[in-house]
Parts: sequence; structure tokens; C-alpha cells
Amino acid sequence: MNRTASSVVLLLLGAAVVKVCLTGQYLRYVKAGLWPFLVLSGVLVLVLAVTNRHRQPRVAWLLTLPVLALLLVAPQPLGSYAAGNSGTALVRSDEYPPLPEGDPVKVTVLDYASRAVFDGGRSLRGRRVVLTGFTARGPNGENLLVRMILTCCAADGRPVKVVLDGSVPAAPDTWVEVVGTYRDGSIVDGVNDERIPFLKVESFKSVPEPQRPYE
Amino acid sequence: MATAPAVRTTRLGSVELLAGFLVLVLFLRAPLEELLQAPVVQTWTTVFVSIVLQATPFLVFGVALSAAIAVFVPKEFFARALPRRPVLAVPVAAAGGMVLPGCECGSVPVAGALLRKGITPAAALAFLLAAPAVNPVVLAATAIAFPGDPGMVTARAIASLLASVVMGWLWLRLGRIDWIRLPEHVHGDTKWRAFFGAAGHDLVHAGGFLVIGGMAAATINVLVPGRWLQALADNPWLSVLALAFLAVLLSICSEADAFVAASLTQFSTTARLAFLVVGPMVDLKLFAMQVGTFGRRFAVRFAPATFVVAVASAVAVGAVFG
Repeated sequence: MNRTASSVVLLLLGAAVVKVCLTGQYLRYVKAGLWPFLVLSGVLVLVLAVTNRHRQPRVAWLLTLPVLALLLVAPQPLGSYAAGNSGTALVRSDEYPPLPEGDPVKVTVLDYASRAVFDGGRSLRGRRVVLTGFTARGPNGENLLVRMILTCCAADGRPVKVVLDGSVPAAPDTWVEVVGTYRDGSIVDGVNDERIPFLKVESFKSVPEPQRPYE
Repeated sequence: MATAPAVRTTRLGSVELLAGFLVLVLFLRAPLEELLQAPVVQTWTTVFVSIVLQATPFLVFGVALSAAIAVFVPKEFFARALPRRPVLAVPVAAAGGMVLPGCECGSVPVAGALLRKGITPAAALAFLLAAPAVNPVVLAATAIAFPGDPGMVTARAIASLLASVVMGWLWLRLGRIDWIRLPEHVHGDTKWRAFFGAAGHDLVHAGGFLVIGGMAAATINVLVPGRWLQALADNPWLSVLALAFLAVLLSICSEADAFVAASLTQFSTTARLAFLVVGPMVDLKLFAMQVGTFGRRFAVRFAPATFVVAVASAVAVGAVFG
């Protein structure tokens, strides 16, 4: 690849990285904490594009692929397909303090599922909770509410699953806000033999995909 | 792209090719979007883009550091900093990996720069293996991922250092310098020109191979269902090998792999330790980048050997800590 073309490829790469940072699109792919490093690296790539004086190896062509994917396709955040592929994730902790004030009270899907499974739902009893996530099908056709969690990027994304007991939209990948209460019982996620707790649905409403699709 | 000057005028140049390619993609946008509606393709694209995006800062800072080493650090510095005897230089270089907070994408170009500076290859390779596995950020992440199990951090650090040092010593005995073929480096008339030239070249080179590795890892991530692993978890030996291979295939950044290991609850501690030791040293993304930076003849020998040593080291340390 000659000098001009390789400068253009580097320019596109830097521009794509800076663009997804400014639009917030980066939150679909990586953790929010990466933002300053991403912006800085994007700017550095732009500097390298401007100072580029040399022809570059053929492998440079491949860099156009992620650039085009970012700028033209803008891939969606992980959804029900990825959720079905991995086992549900929970976080065990030594104690579960009472939920904050509020009726209904907003909790993360991860917090709800972990309290339900490891604390036997003790801190959830008698409280109405609001969970936000997308819909998916469970191993035996159950209606699931799923929220993905990630540590660095979508490659390490893991689903947190809750069975919805009540009427909810049947189509997968619909973002919903569900109001409900804790209900005893759980099913087993066949992927990793972990338990998936229940939520008794009181009401739900469809919501747009949140700016931060991951918890 | 070595074309004779006479032929050049009649051949398509890279600029025309690039422009044509971009126009073609713009025209094909609608059918492309339709194809991307399929959940498998959609998930693949998301994972692929995520891997590349996540690696970009580490790669860019890595190539900047490696260019700085190449241009600004005098040759005598490393000769003085490392013990003269290669046998001792290997563990010192591996321990030096503890100070570079980053992941494997950054350490490949840095190790390349160290080799160019003339430090003994065994020491540069020990650094290459140790840096992504034992740096403070990775160890802190491991501690957070295994809250009730501080032994995991110690076991990971010891097993990773052990594997890096053994690989360095193994290279002293068996390695041959002609397996390594560093890509030719650009020179500049001023130091800053040389810096930007080296950084730009390394970025394009390592970045291109990162894209290959990212595509392979995304394919595995999307196509291998998690429940296959369940079947392997019950057998102690198979479970170690299964997670070691999974680490190679998934190519997760070393700063995140502890959280994935923590979620593989059905596996033994030793199997999860193998996942943590192998991942930062051998994986698809890293292999592709090693081919790019050190040459194919090197990578096809070094990566399998590293795999065996890393698994053995994890099993040995796991037996002590388990």
C-alpha cells in the first residue's frame, strides 16, 4: 500500500475511533472507563496519519474492515443470541444490605439476580423493583429478561438472566422496563448449571435501548 | 508491493483500489445491512469490532513506547540494566514485565523494539510473555474477579512468571536466531521523523494482524456454544486442557480474562488457573501479531511450546495452591 493510501487508512481509523467516542457509540462495544484512552489513541493515530511518509505493508488493507464496520454498519450491542450462548452470571457477596428507598425501587438485573439466588431473596421480599433489560427466550421457552455485563469489551460480555412470570412482549431483543416483585424458585441455565431466579411481573413498558446497554 | 517502476503506470495504484473499494461498500450498504440482520452475523460483527476497539489504545501506546525505545533509548541502557549472563537476564526481564501496565497487544511491538536494541532474545521473549500476565492492572483485576480467593492472584503471578522464565531458558538451549525475522524498519533523517515512522509502521503492521486475530476470535466466540464446555468440566485433565484451549481461541484481553474465568464456576481451580496463564501468552490474536512482528518460522515454533510450558506451569502451581 503506497503512502497516500496508507495515510488515508490511518486517517479513517483515527477518525472512526474519535467519532464513536464522541457519539457515545463506543458504549456498545467497550467499557465506559476506556473513553479517555480511546480518544487519546484516536488522536495519536490521526497524528501518525498526518506524519506518515512511507509505503506500508499489504496487511494494512485489513484495517479498513473495522473502520467500515464502525462507520457504516455501527453494529448493535450484544443481544439475545449472545445471551443464549453463555451461562448466566451472578456475583456472590458476603452481605446484602437493604435495598435503597423508593417504591418501586430501581435495581440492576445483576443485583436482583444475585440477591435472589445467593440471599434467598431475603432483602427483596415485600419490595417492588424496576429492572431494565431486553427480552429473550429461555432454555424451555420461558420469557427471560436479560442484561449483559462486561468487563473490558463485548468479547467478554456475559448475560444476567431472570425469568419473567407474567405477560411480557414475546419478541426477543425488545428493551423493556419491568416492575415486579420477588418470587421463590429458580430454573437451571443448561449452559453453566447456574440458577436463574424468577420475577413476578406487575407491569412492563417498552423503552428505547439505553445509552449504556451493559451494566 | 514490489512493482517495477515501468509496470506501475499501467497498474492500479493503492489509492485507486482504496477509493474503488470504499465506493463499492457504499453501494452495497443496503444488502450488507440485510445480511447483518441475522443474529449470528450481528453478534460476530459486534464482537469483532469490540476486540479491535478495545485493543486500539493498548496497541497505539505500545507502538509509541516501542518507537520511543527504538529511537530515544541508547543501546547501552539495556546492556547495563540487564545482567550480562543470559541465564540471569531472563528472570530479570520477566520481572521487568511487572512494570508495564497493558495487555498483550502492546507487549508484542515493545518486545520487537527490545530485540532490535540487541538485548538477548531469550530475555526479550521472557518479557513478551510475562508483561501482559503479571502487571499490576491485571493482578488487581484478578483480585477483584476472585474476591474470596486471594490465592488465585499469587498462583497466577507465580505460574505466569515461571512459564515465562522457563520459556526464556528453553530459548537459550534450543532457540535459533534465524527463526526470527523482524520486519524492516524505516529510518528518518531526524529523531522525531524516525519516531513517527517507526510508530506508524508498527501500528499498521501489528494492527493488520490484530484484525486477523480479532476475526478468528469473534468466530470462535460466536460459534462455540458454552454448553460444550459443560461436558468437559467433570474430567480433571480434560477440564484443564479444555480451558487452556478456550483461552487460546477466545483471545480475551488479559485485563478481562479473570472475570471470564471467575464465571466458569463449573471448572476446577487448576483449570481456571490454566485459562489465566495460557491466555496472555498464547491466543489467536497474539499468534497473528507474532507472525507479523517476528515472522512465521518463529511463531509456529514458539506458540505451541509456550502453550505446553504454560499448561504445565499452571498444573504444577495449581497442585501446590489447590
